[in-house]
Amino acid sequence: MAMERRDFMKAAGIAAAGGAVAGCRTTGHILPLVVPDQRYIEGVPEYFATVCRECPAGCGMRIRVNEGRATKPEGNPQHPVNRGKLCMRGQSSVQGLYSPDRWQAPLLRNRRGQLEEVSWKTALGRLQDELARVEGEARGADAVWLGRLETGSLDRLIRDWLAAFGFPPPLYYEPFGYEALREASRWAYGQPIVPGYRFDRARMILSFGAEFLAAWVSNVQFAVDFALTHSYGHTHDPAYFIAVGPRVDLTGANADENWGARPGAEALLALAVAERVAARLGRPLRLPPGLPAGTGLDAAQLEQATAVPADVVERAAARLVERRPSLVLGPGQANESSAALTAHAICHALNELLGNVGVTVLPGAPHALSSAARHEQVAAMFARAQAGQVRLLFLHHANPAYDFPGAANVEAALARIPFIVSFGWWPDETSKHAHLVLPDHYPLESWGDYEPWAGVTGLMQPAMRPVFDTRPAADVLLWLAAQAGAARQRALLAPLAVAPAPPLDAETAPPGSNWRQSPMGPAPNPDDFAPPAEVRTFDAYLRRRWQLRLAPAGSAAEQADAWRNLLMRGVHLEAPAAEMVAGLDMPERMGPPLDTERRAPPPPPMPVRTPAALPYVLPAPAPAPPPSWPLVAELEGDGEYVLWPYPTVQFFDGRQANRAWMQEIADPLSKLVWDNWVQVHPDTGWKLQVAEGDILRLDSPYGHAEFPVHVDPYIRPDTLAIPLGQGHRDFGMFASGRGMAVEILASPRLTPAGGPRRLGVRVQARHVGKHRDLANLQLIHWQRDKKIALATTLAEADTPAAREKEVRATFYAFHPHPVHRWGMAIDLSSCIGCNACQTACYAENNIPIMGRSSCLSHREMTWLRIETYGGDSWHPSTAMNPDIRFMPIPCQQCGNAPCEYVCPVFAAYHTEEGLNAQVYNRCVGTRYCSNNCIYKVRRFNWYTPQWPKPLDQQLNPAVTVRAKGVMEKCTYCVQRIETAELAAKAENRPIRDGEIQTACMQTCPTEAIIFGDLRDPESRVSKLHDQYRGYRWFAEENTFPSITYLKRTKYVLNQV
Amino acid sequence: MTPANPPMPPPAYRGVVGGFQNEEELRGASVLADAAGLRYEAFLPAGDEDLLRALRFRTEKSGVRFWTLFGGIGGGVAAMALTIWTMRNWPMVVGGKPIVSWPPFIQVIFEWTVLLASFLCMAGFLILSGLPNLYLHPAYRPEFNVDRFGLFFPCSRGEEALARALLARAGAEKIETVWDRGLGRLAPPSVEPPS
Amino acid sequence: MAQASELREADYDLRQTSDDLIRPVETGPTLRYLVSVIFAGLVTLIGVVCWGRQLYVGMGVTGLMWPVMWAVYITNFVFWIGIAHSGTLISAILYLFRAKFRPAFSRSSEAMTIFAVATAGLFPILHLGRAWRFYWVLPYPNERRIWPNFRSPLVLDVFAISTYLTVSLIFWYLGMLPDMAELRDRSRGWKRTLYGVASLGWTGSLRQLSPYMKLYILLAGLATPLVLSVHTTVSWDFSLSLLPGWHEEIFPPYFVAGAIFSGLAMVLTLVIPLRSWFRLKAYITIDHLERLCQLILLTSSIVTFSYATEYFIAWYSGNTYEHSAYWMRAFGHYWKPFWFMIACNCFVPLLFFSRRVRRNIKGMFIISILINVGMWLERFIIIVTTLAYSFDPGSWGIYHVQWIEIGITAGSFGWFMLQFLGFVKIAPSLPVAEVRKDILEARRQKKALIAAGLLTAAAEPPAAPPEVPA
Repeated sequence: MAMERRDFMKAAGIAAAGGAVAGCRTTGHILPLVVPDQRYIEGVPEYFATVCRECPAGCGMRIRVNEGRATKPEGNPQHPVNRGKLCMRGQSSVQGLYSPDRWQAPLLRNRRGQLEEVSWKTALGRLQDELARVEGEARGADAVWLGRLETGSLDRLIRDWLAAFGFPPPLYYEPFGYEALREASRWAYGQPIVPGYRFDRARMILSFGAEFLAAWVSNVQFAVDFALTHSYGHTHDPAYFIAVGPRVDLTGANADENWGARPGAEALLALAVAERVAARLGRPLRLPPGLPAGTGLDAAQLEQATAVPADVVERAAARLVERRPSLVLGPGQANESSAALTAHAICHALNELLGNVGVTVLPGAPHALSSAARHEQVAAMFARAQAGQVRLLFLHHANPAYDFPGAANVEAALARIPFIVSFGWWPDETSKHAHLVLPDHYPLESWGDYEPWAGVTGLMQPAMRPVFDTRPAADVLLWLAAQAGAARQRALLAPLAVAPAPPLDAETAPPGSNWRQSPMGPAPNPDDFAPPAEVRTFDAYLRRRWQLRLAPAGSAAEQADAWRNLLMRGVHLEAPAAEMVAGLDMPERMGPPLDTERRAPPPPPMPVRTPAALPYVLPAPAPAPPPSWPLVAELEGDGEYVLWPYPTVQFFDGRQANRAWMQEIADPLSKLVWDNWVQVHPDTGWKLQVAEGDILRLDSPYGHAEFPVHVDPYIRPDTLAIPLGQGHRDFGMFASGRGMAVEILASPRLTPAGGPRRLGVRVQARHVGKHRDLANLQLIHWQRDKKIALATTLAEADTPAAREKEVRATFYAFHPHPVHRWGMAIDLSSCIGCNACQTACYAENNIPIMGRSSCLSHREMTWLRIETYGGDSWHPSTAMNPDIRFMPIPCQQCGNAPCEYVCPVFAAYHTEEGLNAQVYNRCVGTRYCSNNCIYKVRRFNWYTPQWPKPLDQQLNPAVTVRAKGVMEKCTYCVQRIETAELAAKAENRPIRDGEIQTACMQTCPTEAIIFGDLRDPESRVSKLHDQYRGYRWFAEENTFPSITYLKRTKYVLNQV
Repeated sequence: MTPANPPMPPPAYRGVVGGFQNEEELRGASVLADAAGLRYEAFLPAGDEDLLRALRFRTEKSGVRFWTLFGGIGGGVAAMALTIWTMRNWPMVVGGKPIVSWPPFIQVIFEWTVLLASFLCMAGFLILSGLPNLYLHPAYRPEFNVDRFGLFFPCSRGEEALARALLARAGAEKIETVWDRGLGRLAPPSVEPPS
Repeated sequence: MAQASELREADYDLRQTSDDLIRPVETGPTLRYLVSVIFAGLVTLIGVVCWGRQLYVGMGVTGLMWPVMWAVYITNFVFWIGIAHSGTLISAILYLFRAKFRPAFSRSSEAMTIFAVATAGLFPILHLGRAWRFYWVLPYPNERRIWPNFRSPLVLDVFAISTYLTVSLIFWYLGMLPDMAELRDRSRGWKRTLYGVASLGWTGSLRQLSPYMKLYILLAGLATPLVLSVHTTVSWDFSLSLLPGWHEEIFPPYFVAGAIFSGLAMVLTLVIPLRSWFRLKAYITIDHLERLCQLILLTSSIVTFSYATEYFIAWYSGNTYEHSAYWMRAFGHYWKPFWFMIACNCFVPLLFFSRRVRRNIKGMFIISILINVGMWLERFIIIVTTLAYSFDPGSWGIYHVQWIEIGITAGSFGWFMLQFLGFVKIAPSLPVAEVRKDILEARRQKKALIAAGLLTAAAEPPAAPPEVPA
């Protein structure tokens, strides 16, 4: 290991130099708050708890900081939302932090119309002038705050600030706003909320399009819960999951049954299911007035209208009745249509009928998304802007110019706003219109709090000094208020004088108790209040607010102590969270349960409760009268194909598109990278005479765009699907120019719930004779008769019938592993294909990004790939029930590794602990090891790896940066193994099972990957190795791999 | 010739040489020489085993074979030592094989066996044939390497007449006395006596 | 009984033969020769420039990718090693078997061996990701205390090829001693010094000849198993791996046969222009070439049989990975080169069953080129299709050749040509002494036949060798 130490020192030296340079810009040390200086040791990473702000889900994060550089995000195990897990977007937050495209200083538009770098003094002075001018013109009502969703202290500060200046309340714009779901909840529960969901309690899941494993509400949380209830690795009574949609998406790929329903027919199908369930239960269905209690269609008509056979619907209804509690979910982002509201209402009714409310659906624990502005409100604002009625726009990390349909012509409206201030991080389609840019700290550099579910608050603290010359938007607001006079400052600091209600213990709080007076707190009496002079910055504001909240009557020392403990924990729980966190024991548990560990029976249904008071300020209600309830989505245009824009796990709504990792890590299903494409069924492709990569021109009533074709059978022939979030026009070096955005084709009309009509147009398609090669990282999705990703039936999973034959013969005696033999167990029944592990591997192991042209020739560097296979056999008739299996493939660390003996220079060798080590310095680059690797897990450095500055600061100093011409591979995060071994040695104890977590295992939301010592018969991984459904991949080649795959379980193999 | 040059050594008498047009005459001359008890050295334009045998060339006693044998054994042993010692010196488990996994080493041992055998074969040849020697034999004439068979009698002046007669009898053309004038390396061979 | 055509040599005049064979070395370059040298030099330069770019930028300039990490370079390596095989085979094995037609090809094919090995040896270095570290595979004491891995077929390659090159060089060079002496005697000035040193003082005396003959037969005996072992070792590069399509017991004999096959074809390709450019038709006769064609026919049938065996075993094994590897080899993305290769290696040589084709210079030249192409493609197919379609279909990928690789490949041909063109101007392309030996032997046989009354003596021997119609 001498080599690795040397390289570590080299990397550490570079890292330290980089950190020093980055640290020169600002003053103040951020370490002391959490770790006193004297405890800081060079070379030993620190961990800071914070919140992931990459999407509104608000997962808890732990950031690893090496020598003042944030290098690796991990989930905070104490946070009930994600329980230590993180999705690929969260993993990529460091790439946002170090994005080369970030604004590095304030910018002001000069006379020539270009943004020019200015000092903070100039920039703030300009903003003060502008505020004064608005005040002078008495147009305070025309100043608009358009920002991303904020909750907690920042929300409070923004609202107070806007109120103090006489501006209207903020518009929190989320492209995925769940308008239909919220509107349906208003009917069902009285409040327009996104209710809480407990997937782990459901024994049956029926989803009419909710992409809850990819981008819906809180995908990490739902993935964790889904695995708990659906993976055979976690429960021996897996929930039955039916997904509905014209396309098999990441969520549908994990379903036991896919209904290839006609797009837009979700409401009709839901009603058909609901009427059958009601009939079986003999209880009436409570539906909104105006909605018929049944479809009134016979079996043939139903199949005609929805393309789903009536007996399939009948069977689903029977299962729903049989398997309670269950969870019925309405449409997701892709099918946010004119009928989505109806579908959501029916789903709410169905949940109520099945007794799910209070068990799996928790209206008492609403999500922060409940307080997002409706699309309609933002659209109205732009209409006012178009009419010249918006005087001043504050942009706070919102990018409607990209998200809005092209036909809405948002950019024209933006151009008519006299002054736009952007508190942005980087230029994007919206903020490029800004007149003044006041770059904000990135969340990883910021203070803050975020309350994703009512009662669950995550605390944000900066993990490092700001990379660039940025200032928190909140500090700017506080400064502006202080400059604007004592009254305004006092109004802003009012909450700090108030002692909120004492926090309630989550365990003992009465369910549904009135836990807080109002979201804004009781109105303060200004006379009592003297603004604390020291509160000039948001961190002081936040600290003060939380100290008062945690220990209202305590001494300063106690308050400081409470605050410090909270920061270290990173999360604060209050009463409404009780339902969300009850029974979750994730932080202590390590890996899926074994055969002997059975799941606790589901809890009995609890009474239906709605929150008495919401922790969120809900947006102004829609002025429209109760909407109509269409059963079938209206589709505009006379095209032959329905346009199906869908969100992906990597791009979400598009805000993560400018991340090299997001672009380079393959889309879980198509395995395409660095592009945007239209998914076409082979039959449709044949009809249109297009092959993979041919350019298809799509014409909708609102525009036309061209996309390269990806031919894939997992879609209806009458549907063309395009991922959301790609095709940015002006969004940095990685995202710009990746094809066209689907929004160009979208309808600008609104749904009855005030949301965007994502599913709303039909398009015409024709081949325009052009071609663009698509970089596809997995060409074959058919296992043929090779035994790769195996499955077994539920009935056989725990019987010897599931056992694969394994012959072990060797010329030489098997060599011993004296102390440890590290191994893994990967449960295919748990893996949902979300790519989180792969991204974590990129972050941990300094894996370089190769770019599109290299990916086109299959030169990606990923050490861990996920292969997607369509079951044992592939046939078009099973295309919509594809039996998709995701197979994460790290290095198998073979006992008899074929890669090792062919290396002429011993660069690849077997360590005593069973690792198939690769010594990069010794490699001469024959590439023979890769050729002889039957798993093809080795990667070659075709070029000198490059990281555009300052992305290089993200590099993990514990891992060598490989040079050109060198082979590299997964070594089970050997740096983590070494660290744990040193720690154990220092404490003179054996290594505990579960103490070492590889990066992939650490972040896997479903705990599909378990790492441990195979020499220890008591370790979890050893026990998993012995399971009947465990098999060693290609064991017949006598490679003796140290990874055991556990077969995926199906209700019935190869059929529904 | 300038006075600065050292005086030429006096040419030394070496013997008599004659060239034959065909091998039968050469064979005849060799039979005669044997009968007369004269030692001789022949120059052949081609290495022909039949002819060599006829000139009583005893192939079975060549030392080259022993050199080759020793080279082969030495090479094999050296390669065996190299592979086994280096693998034990740098013990790495690869492919689940033991440190001394001998089957692949056989190839190295074979190669070095052949290599050293060839080297020593060459060395044996060079030593036995007295090569490299850039002083050409004084009796050598260029045509002996083209189309004439040379026969040289390294005899004393007293035997010269016998040798000349023998050569003439066998049908030699251009019978000459060989004088070693000690000319430099690669000098055109001369067989004419000093004037 | 010796054939009359061989006895024809008995009438050759020895001096005339020497003059004829040495003339190409002594005369100045012709225009055709100069153009060839410039062309070969330029092509070599292209290869050098391409390699420079590859070193500077990285292996990314090639078409290599995951999972096809070897392609054209290793194809070239195996191809040139294969070419190198026939040289020593013709020279050593034919010597051991006392084959009559040996001298017609032995010198040029030995030279071909040396130059082909010198070309082939570049490729393992050239294909390295870090070519500047190539010496790490050599066993030399170093400060890192690291030794190479003697289990790796690549290290075995190093041993096999370096030994082969060394032994072939010795064999070639010592075989040239009499010719060097003759050149020495014919030349003046610096050339005389040069050839004099190169001839080591050869005079053809009994003292030198007697160990020389022993040496030659011993070297031939040592080189023969070496010929077989080298391509066996090269075949281990593949057969010691686990991949379906590489992991096969048949590879050593199959590779050796294929190498001889391709080498014989390359000899034809080289010798046909050689005999015409340098007026050597009397010494490399149509009969000699016909013998070569017959050998090609033999080796082609061995190669065909090997292909058939491969497919049969793949089917018979019942192994799904073997099935798909061989299926994709024949019907996958590379089906065109595959079937072209089958045509070139299995069917085109069958034309040699016809005596007319065997004695048609143009025809055999074209066929020899086709076999060269076919054998190059064979290595390409074995390497690329196996890697492209290995165990896991999810890791399948298609390799496309890039310009840099074409440039380097062309450069290797240029480099080989350049060496060969240099050789024909430095040493006689035929072993003069051995040709002489054959003439003497033929004379002896003729005399014996005349003495036995089986042949009537010609009226008078022709002054010059009769011109043989091509």
